Amino acid sequence: MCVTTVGRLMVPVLMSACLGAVLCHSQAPPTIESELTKYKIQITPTSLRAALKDNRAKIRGMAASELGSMRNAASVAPIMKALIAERDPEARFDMASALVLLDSKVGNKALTQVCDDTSLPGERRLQAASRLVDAGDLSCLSSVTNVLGDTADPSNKISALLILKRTRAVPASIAPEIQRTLLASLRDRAPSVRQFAADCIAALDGNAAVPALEGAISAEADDTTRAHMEDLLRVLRGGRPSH
Amino acid sequence: VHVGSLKIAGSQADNQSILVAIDAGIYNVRKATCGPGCYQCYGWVSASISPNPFFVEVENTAGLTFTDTWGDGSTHDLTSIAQWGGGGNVSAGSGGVITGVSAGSASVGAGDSSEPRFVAACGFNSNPCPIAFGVGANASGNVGDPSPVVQSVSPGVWNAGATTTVTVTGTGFGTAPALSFSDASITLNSYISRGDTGITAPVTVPASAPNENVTVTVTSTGYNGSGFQSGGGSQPSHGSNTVNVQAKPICPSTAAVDQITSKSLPDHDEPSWLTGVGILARMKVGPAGTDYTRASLLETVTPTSNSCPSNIQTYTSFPTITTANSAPFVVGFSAVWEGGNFPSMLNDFYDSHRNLVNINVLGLTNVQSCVAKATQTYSCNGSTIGTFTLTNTYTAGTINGQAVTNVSTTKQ
Repeated sequence: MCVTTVGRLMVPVLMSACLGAVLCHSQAPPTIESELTKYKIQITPTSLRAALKDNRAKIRGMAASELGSMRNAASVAPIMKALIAERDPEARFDMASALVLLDSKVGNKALTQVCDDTSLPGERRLQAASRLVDAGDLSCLSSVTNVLGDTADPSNKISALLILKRTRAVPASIAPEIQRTLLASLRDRAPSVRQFAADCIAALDGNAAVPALEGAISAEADDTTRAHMEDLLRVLRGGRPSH
Repeated sequence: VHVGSLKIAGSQADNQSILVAIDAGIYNVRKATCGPGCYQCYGWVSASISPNPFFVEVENTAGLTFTDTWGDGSTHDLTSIAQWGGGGNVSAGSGGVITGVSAGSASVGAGDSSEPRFVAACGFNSNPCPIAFGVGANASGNVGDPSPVVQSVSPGVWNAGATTTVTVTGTGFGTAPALSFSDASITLNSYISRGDTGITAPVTVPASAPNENVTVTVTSTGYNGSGFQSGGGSQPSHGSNTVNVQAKPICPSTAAVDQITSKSLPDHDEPSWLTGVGILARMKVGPAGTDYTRASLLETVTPTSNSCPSNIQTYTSFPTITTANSAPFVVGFSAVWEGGNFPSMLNDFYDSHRNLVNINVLGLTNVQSCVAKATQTYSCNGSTIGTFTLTNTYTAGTINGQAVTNVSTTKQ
C-alpha cells in the first residue's frame, strides 16, 4: 500500500507493483499563523515578541516572520536584538527579512550579505534578493545576474528572471551586464526559461526589446514559447494579446 | 457677670481623668457666682452609611461601610463591630454585607451601642464622662437585576457574505437575553443557546457589509420572565462589546507567476527520500489597483503528458485535481514551505508544487530523464482567472554518492 497525497487529502492507493510512497503536492501550503498556533503561540505582537526568545529556532523564525507580516513597527528593536543573538541561519534569514519589511536597514544589510555569499546555494541567494527587491532595494541585482548566468537549474533561472522583471528600473551601472545575461537566457536550452526571459526583457526594455524578441521568435523552435513571444511583441507594438 | 471657660486636653484619649491643680488666686466674691462645673464629653457627633443610596443586584451581595465623626473631627470605622439590619428587599449581615432579596427599594440600618456620644453640659459631678452611648445611621437604595457585562465575543472577526456561529460570554445576561448589533443589516437567525453567562447564535453578515467595527449588545430581559428589574435604580439593562466585520473579498480576474522558490534534494520534511522536490510559486492576482485580500481561489490540475517509462508513471504523473477536491488558496495569506517562512504580500498567494517519492524512481528505469506535464487553472467564484502549464522534469543525479532523481518544476 502506498500513500498518495493529493491536495489535503491523504488517499491510500493500492498498487500491485508498489515500491515506494509518493507525496504529490499542488496545494496551498500552511500559513505561518497556523503553524504558530500549533505551538500554542498567540498571534499578537506581545506574544510573538516573547516567542523571539523561544528555545526552538523554528519558532523564533516564524515569530519574526509574522511580526514582519504584521508590519509591527514596535517590534523592530526586539527583532534586531534577536538577530544579533541568533546563530541559526534559517532564523537569522527570517529575522532579517522581517526587518526589511519593517524598513530597518539592518535587515537589508543582512540579506545583502546572504545574496552576495557565493558559498550559499543559488536558491537561498535568490530568496534574499527577492525579498530585497520586494522592498525596493536593488543592491542584489548583480548577484541575481550572476546566479542566472551560472546556474544550470531552470527553476533557479526562472526565479532570477522573475526577480529582475520586478525591478522595473535597472541601475545604469549594471544594465549592460543584465542585458547580456537576458539575451543569453533567450537562447537557453529550456523553453520555459526562454519564455520568462522574453517576459523579463519586455518588462524592462519596453519597445527597446522589440529587436531582441524578433530575433528570439525567428530562432524559437518550441511552438508554445514562440506564440508567447509573439504575444509579447504584439503588446509592445500596441496591440492586444491573442488570448 | 463674667463667664469664662477653659479646655484641658489629655494625651491619652478624649475621655480621661486629669488632675488639675489650681494655684492661689484672688476672687472678687462680690462678683463671683457659685454653681456646678461645666464639661464636654467627647464622642460622635454624626454618623453615616456609605454608599447612600446603595445598589445591590438580586441574589448578589454588596459591601457597605458605617462610620461616625467625633467632635474633634476624627472619623471612626464601625463597619465590622456594628449591628446591621436590612428592610424590605434586602438583608444585611455582619461586616456591612448586604444581599439583594427581590427587586425594589430597600433600606439598611447600622448601629453600635457602645460608641460614646458627644455631650456638653454643666453639673455637680466632678468627672461624669462618658455619660451617653450609642450611634446609628440609615441608608436607602435599590435592589435590581444586574446589568449585562459582555466579556468576549468569539470569533472576533466576522466575514461579510457569511453566516458565523457566534459565542458571546459574560455575566448578568438574565434568563433569556437578546442579542443585537449596531449594523442593522446584520441578522440573527436564531439562538442555539442563551443564558445568564452566554449566548450562542448563528449570525449572518450581508455580502454588502463594508469593513467596519460592529457593537454587539446583550440586553437582559431579567430573570424567569419578570422583565428587567431596575429596582428604581438607573442601572442599564444592556452591555456591549465590539467585533470586526471584514468586507467580502473581491474576486480577481487575472493571475500570474510573481516569484518562484525552488528546492532540490534533500527535502526538508523527508530528508531520506530519493526523488523530489519542486517549487513554491508566489502568484500575483490582478488587475492591479484593487485589494483582493482573502479572495478564495480553487484550482484544477489535469495531467496532459508523461514521457517517463510506464513503470514509474505512478510516481511521476501529476495528480488530477478538480474544484470539488481542491483546497482553497487565499489571497494575502503567508506560507511555510520547505522550512522557510514566506510573509503575506498584497494580492499574492502561494502554491506549493512538490513531488516526493521515497525511492529513486529513475533507478527503476533505463532512462536518465523524463518529463511530466499538467495544465493548472485557478478560478474565483467559478470564473477562471489563470491557466498554467506545470512541468516536472525528472533527472538522474547523485547526492553523496547516492543515486537520486531530482525534480525540477516550472510553471508558465
